[in-house]
Amino acid sequence: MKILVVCGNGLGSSLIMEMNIKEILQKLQIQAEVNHEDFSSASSSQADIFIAAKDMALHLQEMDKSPVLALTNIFDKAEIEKKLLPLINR
Amino acid sequence: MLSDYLPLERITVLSSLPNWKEAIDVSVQPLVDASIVNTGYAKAIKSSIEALGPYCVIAPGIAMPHARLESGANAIGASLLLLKKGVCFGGNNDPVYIVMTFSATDKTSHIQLMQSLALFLSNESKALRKCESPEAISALIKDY
Repeated sequence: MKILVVCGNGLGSSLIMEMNIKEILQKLQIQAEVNHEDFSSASSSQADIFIAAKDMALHLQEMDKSPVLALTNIFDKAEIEKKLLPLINR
Repeated sequence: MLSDYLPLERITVLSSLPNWKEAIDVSVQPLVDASIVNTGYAKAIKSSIEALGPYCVIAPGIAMPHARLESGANAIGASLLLLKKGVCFGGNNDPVYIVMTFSATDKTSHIQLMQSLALFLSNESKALRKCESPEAISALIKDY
């Protein structure tokens, strides 16, 4: 499974989200490849799940990327876990 | 340690600022003064926000503005601006009280700074908002 985390510049919030996601995946013992990219690189990338903070998620959805997990708070691991599980179990 | 990247002289507490652009300018200034970024850095951040929207407001009340590597970053560092009354960036997570601006020189060397910032903001944003001075904020940072 390929998870792509996206932020505006590819070196700030996407890094933090990637760290949190990897921690959650490890806790749940789920195997997945997690990478992060900036918005313009992500436009030509494929993934099984795209993850971004809410404002960036809107842009990904506009580009017809799907599914896109939109986070209100990138520090909130409970939010990440709650939103990620249904997408992984699909 | 977070204080290595975010020393007392780069922490500012203000009552308010009129708009998000001034918040970016004020938060970037300490990084310019320390030559961590060039004078074009603030402009690059503002242009990105104008183009992509307030994508740097990544949690309720918290913004982490930064620009692309080629926009004038000379070193890894951060600055913190606390706005007691908050400022609007035009997104879901407004108003913004904490502006944590940082600079990175490549895609990976700042991982330690990001980990410390994430842990700090995750644990201390409530306490941070109650601070009335840079010294109080500096005291919060010392364990990270």
